[in-house]
Amino acid sequence: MGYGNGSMIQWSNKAIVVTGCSMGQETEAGTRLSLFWRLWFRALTVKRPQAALAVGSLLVGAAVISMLLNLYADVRRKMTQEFRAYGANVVLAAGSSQATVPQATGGEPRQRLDLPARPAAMDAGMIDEGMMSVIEPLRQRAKGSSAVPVLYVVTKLEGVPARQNPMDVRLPESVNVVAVGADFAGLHQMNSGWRLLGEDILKGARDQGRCVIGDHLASTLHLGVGDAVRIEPISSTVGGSGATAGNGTLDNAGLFPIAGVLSTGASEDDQVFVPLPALQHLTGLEGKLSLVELSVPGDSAEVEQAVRELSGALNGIEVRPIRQIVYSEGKVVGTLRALMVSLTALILAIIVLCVMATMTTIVLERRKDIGVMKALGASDRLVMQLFMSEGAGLGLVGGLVGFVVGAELARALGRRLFGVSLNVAWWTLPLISAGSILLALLATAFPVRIVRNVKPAVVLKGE
Amino acid sequence: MLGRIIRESVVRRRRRKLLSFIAVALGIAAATTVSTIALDVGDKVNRELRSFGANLSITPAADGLAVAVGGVDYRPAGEGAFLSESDLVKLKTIFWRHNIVAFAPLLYLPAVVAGRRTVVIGTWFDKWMQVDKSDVFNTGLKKLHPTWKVDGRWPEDGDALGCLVGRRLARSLGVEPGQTLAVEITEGPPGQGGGPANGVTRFAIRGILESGGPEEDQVFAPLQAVQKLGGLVGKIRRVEVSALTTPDDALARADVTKLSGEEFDRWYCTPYASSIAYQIRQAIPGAEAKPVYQVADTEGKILDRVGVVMWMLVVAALATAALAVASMMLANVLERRAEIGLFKSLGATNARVITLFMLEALVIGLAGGVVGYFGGSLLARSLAAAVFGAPSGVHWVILPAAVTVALVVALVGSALPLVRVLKISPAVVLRD
Repeated sequence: MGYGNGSMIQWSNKAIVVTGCSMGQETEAGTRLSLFWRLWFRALTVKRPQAALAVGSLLVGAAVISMLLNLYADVRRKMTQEFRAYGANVVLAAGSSQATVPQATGGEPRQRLDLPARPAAMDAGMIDEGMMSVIEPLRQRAKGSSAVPVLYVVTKLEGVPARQNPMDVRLPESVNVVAVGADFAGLHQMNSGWRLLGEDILKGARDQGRCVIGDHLASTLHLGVGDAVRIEPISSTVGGSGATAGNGTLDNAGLFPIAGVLSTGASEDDQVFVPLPALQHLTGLEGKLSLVELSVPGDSAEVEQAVRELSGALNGIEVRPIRQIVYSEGKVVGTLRALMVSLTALILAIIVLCVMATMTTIVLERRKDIGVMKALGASDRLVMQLFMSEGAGLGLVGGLVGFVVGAELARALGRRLFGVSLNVAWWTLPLISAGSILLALLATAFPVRIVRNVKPAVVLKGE
Repeated sequence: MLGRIIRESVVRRRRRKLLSFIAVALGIAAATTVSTIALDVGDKVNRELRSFGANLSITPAADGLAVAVGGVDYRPAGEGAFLSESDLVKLKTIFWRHNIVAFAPLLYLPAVVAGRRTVVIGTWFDKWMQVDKSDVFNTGLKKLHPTWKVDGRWPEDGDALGCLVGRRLARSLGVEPGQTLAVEITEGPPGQGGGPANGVTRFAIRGILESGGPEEDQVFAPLQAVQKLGGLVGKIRRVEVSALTTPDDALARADVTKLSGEEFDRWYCTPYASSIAYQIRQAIPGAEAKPVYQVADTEGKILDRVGVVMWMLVVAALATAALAVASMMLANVLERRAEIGLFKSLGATNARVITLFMLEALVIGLAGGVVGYFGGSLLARSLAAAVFGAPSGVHWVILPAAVTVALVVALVGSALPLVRVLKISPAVVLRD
């Protein structure tokens, strides 16, 4: 007998016999109620393509919403994390009111000035390392933030290869480079975009007094992991490039074995990174820093808040947010979210129309059933209720299955996107189920009006 | 006979046909909107991320080590190797020239300002470069960093004495636009003909630069002026380039020298940061071009993320479109069961009936697909304008895809229920 129609009518015939035979008043209401639920259950379980399509549409809708809700909050958090890879977004530097390094040229004849011992921007002054203890409690409050103190000094560097290669005769004896005193592991964590050769042996570099050199430096002096460098600060006296004695008398304390080679495509390729305490000791700048690089997680509002707190807590220190990063991040996350919401709304609108069309078909299909029920004395309202609850039932099924499908997709997506399984947001389940039921009810509300127009005699006759 | 039936079927049940057409059009429109946005979002986010500045940097291959912090070189002006300013035009002749959004040459001149050591950076601010007879390219610091703000105005590139002072430096010196800045050029390359202008040069401050970065401690001046002062006419030390790149994948990370001919072509013809750098190295003699890995890699990851999210939405939209079309077709077939029974009892073969419905589905699918595509494109334009601030382009490639989806789903969506209905004997169907 083809589609569900026939079996519905057959069933209804049986029901006629049952209700027809029951005489007692007290059983009639009870029977009508149980009939209602039996019809409802039958409507859901009997195989009918329209119902399947309706469920399918609701399923897709629920899945999309489920995916959106699961991803929405996480997109922001993960994107923010991604933007942290651009490096520090807040920098602490000495306030510009600090004394400048005197470089008087006064009445003296103009001479070639040597390279500054500290790069000019840092001539503005140095930070006291004691500041770090002030930053520490503030930093701990902002979860996931990190702070790396840095000291920049221009030094004279000499390569000490592990093996003397007789071919390398034309190498420069020593070069001027910027030495960066910092905890390299901390810097590398902050700048995850840096490419490092020799990564796994960096653990404990701090303790073992090893250094990391930039790849341009490495290629200029033909050095690599396993070789070493000797560093000496350049004296800042005017006119003296002869502050260094002969090679052999350089202090052994300035010897650093190379632990890794860094490639960034920027200034770091020409620099050498040594442990901060060692550089401070070597240059006699104990307890001094050039800057502190901070990575503060969060969106622009949270970063501004952190900047305000730090400015308040630190005197004479300038707190500079790197506005570029914060601004760009806000825009990208905002764009993505706006798109997710608007496109999901569009998809949902189409789904509603789909379900509405399908429910119309279902109602039209079962005009005969409606005719029979009305002929048996069912009121319009009762029949309409039956269809509405049927719609709600389809909505519930579609919603539940859609939620599961959507959550699974979000997890797979999360793993692909972020490499981490996102947690299923169980609190969205009642939300989505309710939403799906509401959607189905809304979609059914219009077609059920057809019930009113069904004239049993006309329909049963076969028009 | 078939022709007449088709004509009749088109004329009759107009409301039903219209409803089907609308459903198909809406479904396809939704799918088109999402696909158009998905194709554009990568480009838009890429451009947004370019506001970071350079993701490629060009230096002289023969250069010694820079004494640099944050990109500013403190070496004496004449030391090391240089690039030629005249080679810059070659940047717009490489294969991926249209992906080069902006670039700026840089030349560093150590100087003393108000007792502080600083560096005067010569660069292009807003230059119109003649690429060839008909093509001009606007580039410079202004285009490279679109988020930088200037209090006052940007100096002209031909301005001999104009300069731009970073905000922090200006504050500590207490200077404002319109005032003069006494800059002492402390050294020029010894023994260079044309003589360095040692001594105090008075620059006129045209504007104060607000960048939110280390540039706020620097002084920027027109390249020509700095070249003359340092006795380095026609020379530049570095070029910062901002290019639209695709995120790195397995091919990009492979060793270029080990790629086969075909793989190399594919790599060359994809705008990876590394392939653009390679093309720059080929175009400019004596140049070393490298991606700024941090910027390029992070950008790549962000674009990747965005792309995946968008394509999930596309899949969802396609599923929705398919559902819309399929449910309409199903409804159509079911509604006309009696009609089918009639056809068969009159002697029509199954093939004839199927042909009839397929033709109808074809017409609806085609019309709905085309109209849906145009409607969806229009919606995508306004949505893109609302979200990105710029309307999306028209992607003609989506049209055949949209029409194909509409046709396939319409045909299959009619065929499946049709096959089931045809199995029922006409007598049963007619009786119902």
